Amino acid sequence: MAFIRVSSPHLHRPLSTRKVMQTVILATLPGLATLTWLFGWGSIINVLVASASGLLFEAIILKMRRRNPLPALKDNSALLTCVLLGIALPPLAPWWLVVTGTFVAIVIAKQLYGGLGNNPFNPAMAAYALLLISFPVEMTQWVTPASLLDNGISLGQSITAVFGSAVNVPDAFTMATPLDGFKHKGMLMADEYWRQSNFLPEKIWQAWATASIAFMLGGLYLLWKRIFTWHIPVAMLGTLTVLSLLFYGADASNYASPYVHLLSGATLFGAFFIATDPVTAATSNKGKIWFGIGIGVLIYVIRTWGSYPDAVAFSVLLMNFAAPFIDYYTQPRSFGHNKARKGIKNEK
Amino acid sequence: MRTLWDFHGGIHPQENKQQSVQQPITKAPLPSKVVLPLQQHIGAPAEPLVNIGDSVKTGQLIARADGFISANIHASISGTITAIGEHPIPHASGMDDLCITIESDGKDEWTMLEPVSDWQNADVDTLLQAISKAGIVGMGGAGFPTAVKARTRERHAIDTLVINAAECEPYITADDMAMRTYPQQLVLGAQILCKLVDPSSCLIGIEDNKPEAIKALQTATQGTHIDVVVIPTKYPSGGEKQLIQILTGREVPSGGLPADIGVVCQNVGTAIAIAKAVTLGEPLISRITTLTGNAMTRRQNVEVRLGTPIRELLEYAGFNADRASRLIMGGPMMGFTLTSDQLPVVKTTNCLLAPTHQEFPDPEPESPCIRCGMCEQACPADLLPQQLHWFAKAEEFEKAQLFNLFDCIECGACAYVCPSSIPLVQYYRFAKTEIRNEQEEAKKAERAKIRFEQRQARLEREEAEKIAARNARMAAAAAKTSATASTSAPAPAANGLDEAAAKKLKIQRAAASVALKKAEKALAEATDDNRSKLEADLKAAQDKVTTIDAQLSGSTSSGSSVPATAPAQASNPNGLDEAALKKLKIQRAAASVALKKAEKALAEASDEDKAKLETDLKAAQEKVSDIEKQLGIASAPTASAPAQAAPAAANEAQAKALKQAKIAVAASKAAIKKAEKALIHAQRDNDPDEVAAKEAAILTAKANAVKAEEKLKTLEEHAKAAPPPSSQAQTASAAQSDSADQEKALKQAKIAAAASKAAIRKAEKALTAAQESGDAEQVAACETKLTTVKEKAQQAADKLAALQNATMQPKADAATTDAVADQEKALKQAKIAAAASKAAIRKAEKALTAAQESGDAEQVAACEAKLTTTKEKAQQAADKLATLQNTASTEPNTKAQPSTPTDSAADAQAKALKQAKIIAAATKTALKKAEKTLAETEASGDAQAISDQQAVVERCKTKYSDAAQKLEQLTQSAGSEV
Repeated sequence: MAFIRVSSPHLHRPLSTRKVMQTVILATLPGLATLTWLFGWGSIINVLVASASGLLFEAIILKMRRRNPLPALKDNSALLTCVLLGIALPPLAPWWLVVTGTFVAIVIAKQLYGGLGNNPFNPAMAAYALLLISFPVEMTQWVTPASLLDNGISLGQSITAVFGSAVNVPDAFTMATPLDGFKHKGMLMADEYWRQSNFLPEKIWQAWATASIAFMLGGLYLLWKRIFTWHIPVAMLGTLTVLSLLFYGADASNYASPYVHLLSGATLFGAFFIATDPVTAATSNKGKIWFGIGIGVLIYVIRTWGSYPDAVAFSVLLMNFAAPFIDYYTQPRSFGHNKARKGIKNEK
Repeated sequence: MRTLWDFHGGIHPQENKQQSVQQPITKAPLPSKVVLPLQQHIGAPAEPLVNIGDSVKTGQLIARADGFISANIHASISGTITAIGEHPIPHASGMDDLCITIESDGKDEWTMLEPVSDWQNADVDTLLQAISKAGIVGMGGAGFPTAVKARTRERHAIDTLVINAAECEPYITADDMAMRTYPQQLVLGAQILCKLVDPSSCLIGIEDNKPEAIKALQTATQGTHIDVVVIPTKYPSGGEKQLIQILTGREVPSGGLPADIGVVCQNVGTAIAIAKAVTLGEPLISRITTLTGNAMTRRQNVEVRLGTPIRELLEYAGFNADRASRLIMGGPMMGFTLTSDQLPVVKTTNCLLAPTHQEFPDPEPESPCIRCGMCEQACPADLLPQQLHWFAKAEEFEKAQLFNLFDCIECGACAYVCPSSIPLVQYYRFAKTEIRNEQEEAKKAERAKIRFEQRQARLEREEAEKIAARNARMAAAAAKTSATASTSAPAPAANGLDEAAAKKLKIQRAAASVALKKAEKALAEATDDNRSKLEADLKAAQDKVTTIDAQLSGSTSSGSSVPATAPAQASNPNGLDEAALKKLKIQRAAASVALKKAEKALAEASDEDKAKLETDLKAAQEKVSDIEKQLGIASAPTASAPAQAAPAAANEAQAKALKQAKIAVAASKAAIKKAEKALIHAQRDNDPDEVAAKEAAILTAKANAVKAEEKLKTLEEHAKAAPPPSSQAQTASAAQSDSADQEKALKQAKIAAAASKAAIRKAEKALTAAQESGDAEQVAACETKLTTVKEKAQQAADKLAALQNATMQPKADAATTDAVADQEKALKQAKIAAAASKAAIRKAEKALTAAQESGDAEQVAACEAKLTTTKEKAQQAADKLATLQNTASTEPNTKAQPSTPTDSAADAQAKALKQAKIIAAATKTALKKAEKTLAETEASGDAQAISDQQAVVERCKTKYSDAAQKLEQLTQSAGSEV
C-alpha cells in the first residue's frame, strides 16, 4: 500500500455523470416508444441520425479543442442532447435538418461555450430554435398519426422520406398539430373549432395526449430517482395550468383549455426533460421555482399571443438567460443566518 | 415522544458499522514506546515538564497546559523519556510537531491517582480542577479542552446539555461500543457535567442505528433526569450544530457557539473520561479507538494508550498492507489519510480505517460540474456548494464569502453525492486558506501603511522644526544686524592676549566638537553592547565642549570688558552683549542640532534604548531652552539699548515661532482625532491587531501633541518673558495660562486613564472571545495585549494622580510660578544694575584719568571718592546678582516640576554644575585680569592705586576660591550620584 494523501470524504455515492445521463436517456424511452407507435418510425430515425452525427461532431470538436474526446463521449451528455433533439424534431424531418440541428447543439451551443457544464443555453433547444427560425416549413410539418392513415407509414417509406431527395415530406403524411391548428383556426370561435372534427380529428388529440403522458411517466421516474427535484416541473406546469385556467374560465370561446395546454405540444416533455437540464437552469430550490414559473408564463404568453404555435424552446432559452440572475437573488438561508442574502453585493 | 427537528440535506451512506461491533472492547497490548504530541487539542501546545532521560510513571504529568486554552499531557506508559523534539504528528497537514517520546519499561507502574472523594458534594471548582488536571479534551474529533467548555456557565446561561452520541460517520463504532460497555460511566460523566453546567435538561442524542447502546443507556439513565433521545440515522447528524438543531430546533448562529443559544455539547468519550478523572483520578492516557476496514483481520474497538505508534496497532489488528487502498485516521467522511505508520494515536483518534481497494477505490478523475444541484440538496449548512465550487475555482473569494463559505463544516456530504466526483471539500479548504491568507496580508499592509504614515508625520515634523529653527536664526541675525547698525561703532574691546586665548579656546572647541560628532556617529552606529561605553565617551566629549564653551565665554566677556586698555565708549556694553549674544546663538544652534539628532535617534531607536535616548533628548531640550533663556536675557540689555528694531525683530521671530508651534499643536491634535477615528473603525471591524496598531498610533500622536504643546508653552513663556517691561499682569496671565495648561493636562490624563480602562475592558472581552473560539495564538496575543494595556493604564493612572496632586495646591503653584517669575525679574534687574554699575565704574575711571591728566588734585580726589563708591555699589550689585542666580538656579527647578522630582533634581544639579563652572571660569578670568591690572598699576608706582588694586585682587581670589570650591563640591556630588 502506498500512503497516498486523499482529501476527505473518502466515500462516494456510486452515481456518476455518465449514470445520470444514462438514466435520463432511459427515461425518454417510454415517450419515444409511444411516439413511434403513434406516429411511425420518424422519431426513432431522428434520434438515431442525431445521435450518430452528434457524437461525431462532439469527437471532432473535442479533438479540435485538443481534449481527449473519450471521457466526454463516455459521459453520455452529447448522446442525451441528441436524443432530446431527435425527439423534439418533427418525425420524418429531412436528415440534413437533423444534422444541422446536432451541429448547432453540440458544436455551437455546447462546445464553443466551453463544453459540458459551461453552456448557458440548453443545446437541444438552441438548435431547435435555430432550425425553427431558419426552416419554418420543415419544422412545422408533423406527421399524421398512423391510426389516421390506412396503412401507416412503413419503415422504407420513412427512410425514403428522411434521406430521399424530396424537399418536403409527402403532404399525405403530414397534418397540423393541435396547437398549430388552434393557432390557425382563423375567425372560428374555440367551441366551433373543437366541433369541426375534420380540422382536428379526435385521434390526433389522443395521440398527442398519450405521447405527453408517456414522457411524463419517464419524468416521474427521474423524479423518483432524484435525478432532479420537483421544483421546476411543478412550478412550470402549475403556472401554465393556473394561467390557462384563468383565461379559459374568463373566456372559454377564445382561449384554449388547460387540457390543451398541458397535453398537447411539448409541454410535458419540456417540463421533465428540457427545463430540468441542470446546466442551464437555476440552481437553488427557490431559484428553480422562479425559473419554472418564468417558463410557464412565457409558454402561455407566446402560445396565446405570439406567432408560434408552441413555445417551449423559446421559453426555456429566455429563462436560461435569466438563470444566473435568479441564482443571485434566490440563495437559500444558510444555517445559522437570520435571513438569506440577496444579490451579490456586500450588505455591510 | 420528544419533538425532533430536521436539518436540511444530509446523506445516507452505507454504514459499515457491523464489522467492528462483533467483538467486545479489548485492551490493546502495551506499546513498546509512545510518542505524545504536545498539541493534541485546540489551543496552545502544552509546556514540557520533563527532560530526556527522566523516568516517568503511567499517569504522570509530563507537559503542563500553557495558557487558558490548552491541556495537560500525561505519560501513558511508565518508562524513560528518550526524546523531546519534532516528530510527525497525525494531522491533515502532515506536518511535524513537538512530541515527547517515552520508551516503555514494560512495567506500567502508575503514579498516585487523586480522585475527588465525594463529587456530589464537591464544589464546582474542585471538579473543574479535576477535569483540567486530567487533560481532557473533546474526544469527538475537534479536541477542544473540556474544562474550558465546562466553564461556559460563567459567561452564558445554559439550559441544555447535549451528550453527542450520534456517531453518524460510517465505520466508526467507538462511542457505540463505549456506551454498550460503560453506560454507567457515561451517565456519571453526564451528571458531573450537569453539576458544572447546571442545565435544565440533559439530552443524550443517539442515532437509531445503535439499538443495543440505546437499551443500555435507557437502563442506566433510569432514575436520573437525563433523557436518551433517539434520532433518525442521517449523516451528519452528529455534527454539533446539526445535533443541536435536531434536539432543540435552535440554530447555532453563524460564527457563534452553541453556548450562544444556551447549549453545551459534549461527546460520549469525553463524558466517560470526565467520570474517570473525577471518580478515579485517572488522567486521559488512553481512549477507545475503532480498528476497521477490510484490510484488517481483527476489526474491533480497542482501548489504546495515547501515543501508541499506529504500526503497533496495525500489527495487532492484522493489517494487510497489500490489500489496503489507504490508511485513514477518523471516519471515511471527515477523516484524513495518513502518510506514515509511525504516527501516534492521539486524544482525538476515534478510528483507524484501512479499507481495501474494493471498499474505497481510488477517486475518479474530476469531471466538469453539470450543476445538477445534488450537492445543494445534501448540504447540511444550506449552502450552494456548486456555486462555492465555481467561485473557488475562479478564485472569486469575495463572492465565495458572500455565499457563506465559512459556514461550511467540511462534512463532505456534497462531495459524496457529486456525480462529477469533484473534490468539493478540498476546493473549500483551498478557498478558506486563501481568504485567511489574504486577510493576513491585508492586515500586514494596514500595519505597514500606519508605519509609513507615522514616518511621514515624523519627517514632516522634523522639516517643520528645521524651518522654524532656520527662521529663528534668520530673525536673530536680522536683529543683530539692526542692533549693529544702530550702534555707532563695533566693539574692538579684546586685547591681544585674550584674543589669542580665545582663538586657542575656539580651536580646542572645534576639536572637541569634532570628537563629539564622531562619538555621536559611533553611537548611532553602535550595537547595544558597546553603546554604554560610547555614551560615556559622548558625554565626556560634550562636557569638554561645554567647558571650553564656558572658558571661551569667560575670555570673551573679560576681553570685551577690560576697561584699562580699551577706550571707554558708549557702545561698549552693546558690544559686550552682542558678542555674548552671538556666542549664545551659536550655542543654541549647536544644541538644536544635538536635540534634533537625539530626536531622530529616538525615532529610529528600538524600544530598549528608547528610554535612554529619551533622557538624552530631554537633556538636549533642556540645554536648548537654557541657552534660549540666556539668549533672552542677553538680548534683553541689547534691546534696552538705543536700538528699537532689535526687540521688534526678536519679537517677530518669537511670534513666528509661536505661530508655528501653535500650528504644530493643532496639527497634532488633528492627527490624534484622525487616529481615534481610525481606532473606532478598527474596533468596529473587530480586528484586534489593527486596534492595537491604531492605539499605538494614537499614543504616538498624543505624545506628539504633548510635545508640541510643551514647545508652544515654552515659546509662550518666552514671549511673555522676553519683552523687558514684563508687567505683573503678564506674569499673572502666564500663571493663569499655566494653571489652564495644568487643567488641560489633567483633563487629558483623565481621558487617557478612562481610555486605558476601556482598552482593558475591550482586551478582556477579546480575550474571552478568543478563549471561547479556542484559537490559542489569539488568546496569547490577547493576553499580551491585556498586560500591555494594563501597564499603560497604570502609567496613565500614575500620571493622573501626579497631576491631581499638582493641582491640589493650584494657588501654591501659582505662587511658585509668580515667585519664579519675580525671581527672574529680580535677577534681570540685578544684572542690569550690575551692568550699569560696571558702566558707572568705567565712567568714573575715565573721569579720574581725565582729572589726573588735567592735574586738578581736588577733582582727582573727588573722582577717586566717587569711583570707590561706584565700585562698592557695583560690588553690591554683583553680590546681589550672584545670590539671585544661585537661588534661581536651585529653587525653581525643584519647585516648578513637582511631578518629576528626581529628574528635575538631576537637571537642577546639572544646571548648577554648569553655572558653577561658568562662575569659576568667570572668577578666574576676573582674577587674572585683576592681577594684570595690579601689575600695570605697580609699574605706575601709585601707592594708593596699588593698594586698591591689591584689595581687588584679593577679593577676586576669594571669589575664585569660593567658586572653585563650590564647583568641586557639585562635581563630587554629581559624580557620586551618577
